[in-house]
Amino acid sequence: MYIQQVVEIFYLGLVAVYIVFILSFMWITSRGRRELSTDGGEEAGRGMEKAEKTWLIILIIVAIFGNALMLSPLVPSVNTVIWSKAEPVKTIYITVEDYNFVLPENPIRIPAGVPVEFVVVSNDVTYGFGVFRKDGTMVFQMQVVPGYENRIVWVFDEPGYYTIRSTEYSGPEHPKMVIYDAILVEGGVE
Amino acid sequence: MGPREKLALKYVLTAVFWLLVAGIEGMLMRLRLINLLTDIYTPEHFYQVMTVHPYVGIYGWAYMAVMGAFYYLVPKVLNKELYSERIANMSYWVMTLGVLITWLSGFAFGFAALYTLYWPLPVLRFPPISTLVFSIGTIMIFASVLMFFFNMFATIFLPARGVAGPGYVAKELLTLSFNLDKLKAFGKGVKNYLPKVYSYPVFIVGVFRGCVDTTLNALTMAAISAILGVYAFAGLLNINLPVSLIDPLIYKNVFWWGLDLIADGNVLIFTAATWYFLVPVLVGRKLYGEQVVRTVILADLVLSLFVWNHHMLADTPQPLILQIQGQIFTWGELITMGLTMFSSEVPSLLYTWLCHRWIRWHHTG
Repeated sequence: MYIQQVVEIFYLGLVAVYIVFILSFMWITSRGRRELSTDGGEEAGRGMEKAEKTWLIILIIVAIFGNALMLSPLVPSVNTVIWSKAEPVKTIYITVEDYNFVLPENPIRIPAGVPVEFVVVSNDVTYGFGVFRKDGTMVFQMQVVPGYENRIVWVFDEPGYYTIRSTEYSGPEHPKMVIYDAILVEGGVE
Repeated sequence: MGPREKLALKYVLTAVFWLLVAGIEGMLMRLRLINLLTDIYTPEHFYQVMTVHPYVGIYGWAYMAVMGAFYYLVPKVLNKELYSERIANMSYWVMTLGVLITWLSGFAFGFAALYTLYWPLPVLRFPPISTLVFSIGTIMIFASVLMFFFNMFATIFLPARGVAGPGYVAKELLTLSFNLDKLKAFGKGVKNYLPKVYSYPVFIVGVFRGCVDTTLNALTMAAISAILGVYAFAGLLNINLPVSLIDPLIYKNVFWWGLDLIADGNVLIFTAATWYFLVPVLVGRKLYGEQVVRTVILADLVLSLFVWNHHMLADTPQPLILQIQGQIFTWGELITMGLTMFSSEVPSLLYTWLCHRWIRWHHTG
């Protein structure tokens, strides 16, 4: 339920941003309204018109704010990669080949509340490595590019079973690439 | 009806046919997703359709519609003859056959590597003949697109036929697309220099700047198709070319750099240019901020060359600095698109339309 609420708030937020955009747009254009010219013969000046400059400043502020937000620790994946730089207490090596995940143990046991690292290697084509909750919502995913060690560090807050699923098309048998209850997160607060 | 009108109609009618094909395919795939048509749609066939669907939609429908429209509009706006009607007719046939062959590569030969074509999937999991047919079909598509751009550039930049050659066209194209003359004037300390691009209507500026993006797109994608073709051909001859010759991550970067340009060139710049042209015609007044929209299109073009990394955010071996750069430049598109919205005043047109509707409801109600 928690995730769905976050998604709803996000979409409502987007709608609010859109409404603010339209309102500020109308406000600016009503201030900067010029004479209607239909003859087309008038030679306009080169630079920006005043209302347009104001609009540009608003756009730049939104872009700076958006960038700062998307690079801030508020985004969990950004927090793990850029800000927290936590040393993983456990590293799990997974191999993918011929549409199969080869797991070190089944289920993979992980302590809750501490950083763990997944290292996923593909021996043939590109796959995806996605971890999902029991209700089907996604915790995280990354691409598994062949020829590279694809690493991701994650902190699981909630104990329980998680599903592993390939999140990248790898051929017609790709939908079969799912292992239910492949991860068991233990400890922490129920 | 003149030959130019016939040409435009020929393109748009074929485009609508491909739209119909893509639409039907889309509906069939949706039906399969709700577990209908399971007998017809094996997973193999489902992904074959899914692979050719975007090629039919983007190149068969969207590109052919744009090509038909611009073959008619560009000479009309410039009051010039089209550089070559023969090339225009030829690019029509090459595109139509190219889309058909690409479609057959899935339907008849079993190619199903999706439009993403991530290395080395296209050469590992499908019959070499299917990959070869796909490669031939898509190379034809990109050849047609390049013929169209050449025709556009020559129509726009050649003063008259026979006066200057391709070198002149290329020089004019580069100078005007990136305001190089302004840079040169700036270097020489000339102030208040008015770049040459101001002698062209906004619509035409959008067409050639958008065409720069889509030309780079066609060249990159054709190169990828050629690589697939070489591996498939070797496969047919039972020669085992090692897939490790190509690095999957670098390939993916090049692929997305090239593929993303279609979104900026075709979807953003061409569409914006068309509305820059139409809004003044529809509302009978000059385009708001007409003096800066050429610069906005230039900013769009420059930004579009640096945004591909938003497709690589889930690739953890990708250098972090590229990911951050990709994000910052992608946010830049908010600014260029915001300014486009402002100039074309689409929301204000919508507002005017709603007011008219309101008055009508009010009176009739």
